[in-house]
Amino acid sequence: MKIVVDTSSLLSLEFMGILEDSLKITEVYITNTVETELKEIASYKDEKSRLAKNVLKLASVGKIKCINIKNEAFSKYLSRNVDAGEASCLALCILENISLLITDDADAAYSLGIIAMHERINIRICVAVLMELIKAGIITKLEATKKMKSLIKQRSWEGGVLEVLVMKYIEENEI
Amino acid sequence: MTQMLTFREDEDIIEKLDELARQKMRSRSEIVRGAVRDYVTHKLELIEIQKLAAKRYTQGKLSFDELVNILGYEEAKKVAYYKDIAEESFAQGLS
Repeated sequence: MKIVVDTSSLLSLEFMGILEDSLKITEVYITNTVETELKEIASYKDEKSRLAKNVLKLASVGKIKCINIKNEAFSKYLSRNVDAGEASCLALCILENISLLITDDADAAYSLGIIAMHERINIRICVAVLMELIKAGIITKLEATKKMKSLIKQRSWEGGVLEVLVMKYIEENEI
Repeated sequence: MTQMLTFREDEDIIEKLDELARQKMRSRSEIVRGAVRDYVTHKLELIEIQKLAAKRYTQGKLSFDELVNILGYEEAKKVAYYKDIAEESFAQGLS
């Protein structure tokens, strides 16, 4: 199974400590634009920098596959809500026939949604990877819940859609 | 306590900034400070309202029409779309 993951979702997966595990069940693809964004983040001196460096390490040894996508292939998808990294990820999905795009950015997801639907690409958030790891028996539901709660806190998503859905998930699964 | 912030901007925007500064009899810095202050305050307030509305919509305590009344059509559509893909992510994983 192949997935394309944008910059912020890669950082989310690495923050939850599941990026390397996710490579056991899926092939992760990124674009050269995403790689450039990661390099920029890695140059800062904060928590995200450490995460970006870890992701780049996986890309440098080929565990995460980086594909060059020319600007001309994705510039038509750029908008106020869609940056170059996200646009290049959609272009990669289309060019390589990859039907899953992981992005946590609500603005970008909505803006790219119609094209994605037309191209039969499913847009998911990083939680989808956690659910797949549970199915594969790599992590438990309890561990996944803890990771989601920690991500919500780290990204200041408290009180948002994801927190409501996590609470619902806990309730439904009696965790 | 204040901190210095430096940034680069395209020439045409700088020209507009200077034009505005002339008209308002203010310095570049004053215009930029005011703009950043207004934008950040407004944006954070908006995010809080959006979050609360999105939460209540996801909990089923607000209908889509009510969400539209609060956030406007485009923003409400965005919240509804995000809720859909998030629910699919929980339900289907990567399938």
